[in-house]
Amino acid sequence: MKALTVLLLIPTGVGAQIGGYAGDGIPVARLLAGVADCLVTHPNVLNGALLSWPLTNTLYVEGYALDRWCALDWWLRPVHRNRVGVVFDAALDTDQRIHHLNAIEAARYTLGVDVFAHCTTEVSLGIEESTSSTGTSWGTVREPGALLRAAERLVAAGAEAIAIVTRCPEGEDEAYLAGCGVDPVGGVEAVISHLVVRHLRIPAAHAPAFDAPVAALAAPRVAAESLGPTFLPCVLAGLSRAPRYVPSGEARSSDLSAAAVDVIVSPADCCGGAGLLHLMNRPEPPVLLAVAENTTRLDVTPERLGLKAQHVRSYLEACGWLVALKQGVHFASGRVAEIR
Amino acid sequence: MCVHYIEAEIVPNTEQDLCTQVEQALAVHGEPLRWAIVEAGSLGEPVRIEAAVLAS
Repeated sequence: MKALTVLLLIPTGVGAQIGGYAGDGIPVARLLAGVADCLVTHPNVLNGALLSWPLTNTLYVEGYALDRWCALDWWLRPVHRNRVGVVFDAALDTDQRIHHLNAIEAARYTLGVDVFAHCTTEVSLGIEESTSSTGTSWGTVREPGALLRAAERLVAAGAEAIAIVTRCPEGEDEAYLAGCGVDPVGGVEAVISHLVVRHLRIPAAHAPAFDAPVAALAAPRVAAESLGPTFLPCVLAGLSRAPRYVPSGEARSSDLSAAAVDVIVSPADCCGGAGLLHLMNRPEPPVLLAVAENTTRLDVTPERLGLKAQHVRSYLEACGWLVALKQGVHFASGRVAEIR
Repeated sequence: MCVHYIEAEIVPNTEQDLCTQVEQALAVHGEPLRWAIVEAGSLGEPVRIEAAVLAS
């Protein structure tokens, strides 16, 4: 029987109503992992600050790597475990360092994650958050060279995956904290991990460190961020079993090519991302399931880009559609055609 | 080395690969780290792109 490979996309920093907050895409991933033989998705979906959920048939793939994979430049090589190194932004204060060092030891001794070292950047990274004219979040790193040099030192010492903890400007975005805005740090988080993955071609993910925890009763969708002063545990859990990235010319038959993707599941109004477009431009593209219930700040539907899509109202309906595909069920309508 | 935020607009040629057209438009600004089409009208109309690019 053919394995069912599903790519779940919920882009970060675009205000996705489901998955745009604090790990609130995890229930969707759990749902789809229940029917897919292999689910591929990205840290924005699976990270919930202190919370995460182990899914043995799910591949945790950083966004830049996901785009390269979808372009068939890279393949994915599943592993049993990775040796994880952690980069600390020199801007972290003493309390933040202690919280994150405790998180590392907790991951090592409580979960058995192989975190072997940490390394502090030689200067503060200068993380800045911004909002674009369309309302999506983005940001920049003032000292990208310092980030990459710290990551290089960890790789030279044996790291197979890199977690990055940076000091981020205070998260005072009231709409986001109320569970109805755009994650202000999502855009710069993507830039940080993309830089490391582009430079070193190994799994990476980012955990922000804020100056003060959320004090008030949190909105439900962001409640995971109020549980403690570190968001590192979910990143360490994800990286511990993240697949490696292999150039297509070095791939083995056991590695996973994006050509194996049967179905992409995406918010219906957010279909303009690089990875999705690369796959849909293939001669035999996967099925695109466009989910209406997960609205974002954008209005880039499949039809506006000339993409053929199967529209579904909800993730539950998407799951039913996947079950039907996997079982080979076709729901007939009308009478069978007669060919003369 | 620095990371820039870029907004660009292209009129896609429906006969050509859209990703290639976007990446060619962004290449003049640097190497794209992340890009997405954030506004699109009907087919054949301009599309707007937001991107983070790495420049020397």
